[in-house]
Amino acid sequence: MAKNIVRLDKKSFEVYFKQLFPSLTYYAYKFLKDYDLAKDIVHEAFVKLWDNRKKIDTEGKDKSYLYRSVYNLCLKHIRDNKKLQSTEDMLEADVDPVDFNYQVETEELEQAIINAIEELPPKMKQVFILSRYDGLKYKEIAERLGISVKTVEVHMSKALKFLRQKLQNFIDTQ
Amino acid sequence: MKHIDPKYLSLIFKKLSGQISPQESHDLNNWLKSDEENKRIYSEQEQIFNMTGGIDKQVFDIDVDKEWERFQSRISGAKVFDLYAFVRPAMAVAALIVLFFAFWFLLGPQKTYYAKAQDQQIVLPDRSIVKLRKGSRLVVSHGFDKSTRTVKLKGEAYFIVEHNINKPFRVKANGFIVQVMGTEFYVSQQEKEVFVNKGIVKIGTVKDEEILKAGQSAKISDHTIVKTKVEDKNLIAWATGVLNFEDSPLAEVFQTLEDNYGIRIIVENKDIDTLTLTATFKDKDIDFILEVIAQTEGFKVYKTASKVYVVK
Repeated sequence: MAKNIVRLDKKSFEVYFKQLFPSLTYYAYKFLKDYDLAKDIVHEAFVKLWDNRKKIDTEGKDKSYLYRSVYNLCLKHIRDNKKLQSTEDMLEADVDPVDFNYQVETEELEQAIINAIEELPPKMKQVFILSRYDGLKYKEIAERLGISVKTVEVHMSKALKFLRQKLQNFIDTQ
Repeated sequence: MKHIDPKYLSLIFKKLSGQISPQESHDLNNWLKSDEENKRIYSEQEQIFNMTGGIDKQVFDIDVDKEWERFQSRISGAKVFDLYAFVRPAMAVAALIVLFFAFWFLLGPQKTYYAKAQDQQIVLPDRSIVKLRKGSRLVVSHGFDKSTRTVKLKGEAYFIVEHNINKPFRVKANGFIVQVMGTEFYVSQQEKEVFVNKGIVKIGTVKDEEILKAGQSAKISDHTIVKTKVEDKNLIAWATGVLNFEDSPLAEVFQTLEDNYGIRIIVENKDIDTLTLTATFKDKDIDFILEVIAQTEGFKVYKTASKVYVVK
């Protein structure tokens, strides 16, 4: 993945966008508890980045830049909509606006998991999600996708190997 | 990283998700016992399994291709800006196209309401209320409430428009437009009919224009607006909840009641047809109304089945 998003052309930007969109949405979802809203916020963050790509220099920290942007937009949304009587109360209770780095770190693992799953080749991803999240048995997955149980097993083991490599840094290897 | 027989990775996952068979369990245990390294792999896979469990599944339902398309449409202005450096003469044309699309985007259809099986009440962003007759559609344009408040009607509806002198409220109904500042009125797109209950409205077609005041109605035929006397105020009873009869023959009253309440009234006493009724009912149920009429006019009403009444 290219380091500096602001130097990217449209094609590379697309790759970057598609990779980060789900995890950023999940991040926004945690504040907003609404996927449609979360998606809108992430769009806004990307549009801002795109519009300003010639003016800003993220010094290679595009990810932090986007997360910060999403974070700020979420707070702005909450503030503007005043869902709670006292916004200040909510900010203090839910998130600490000052210590942004800490926030990113605690989210990092979840983001890494989502990104890793998103990076799986389409068929593998499909099989993995049906198994892990929909709780389907291999046989049921095979029937649903019109493939053999053997193929499901191959997809699964490859997906698991891939995830282990991607998430190496978060695994306690004893 | 040591090469692992994929079979065992799959087995580990089966065990963790509770899908493993006794035979497979046996194989897995033997494999685990055969090498310390395998135990480590098991522990790693278990961690992966636990980690992935904490994520809300919905996030994987996001269609990134669709989102990317949406993103591209949002930054289309920026694309034209890039063009500028290379294709200066094309700039004006491009700008026009962008303007056109921006305009289309602003005014183009955004939300369609369809009152499929029953009347539907819609509250618009400006707090105006539309009572949409069943079978009718209302399209609220994207730029609604920006400079004007424009809606498109297919079918019939009753409007209670929030007063705002700066933003005229317009109803487009093929071939004619009704414009108001704040009032209550009824529009039937099929019948090309407008009835004003409160306030003033302006109706326009390509070649005609007319102002209607409260209590007035008009029909549009061949782009010409003809003011008509309100023949039947009860036309909008479904929206206002008000039924009004002035010296109306009972046969007509029964017809109106049948239409508004979806009931059937069977008249067995022909003398009743000569009687007339003067009364106003607001938000009353049919049993109550029929009972009042019966008592006033001196006859009897029986409910013989669901929604069927017999008058004697």
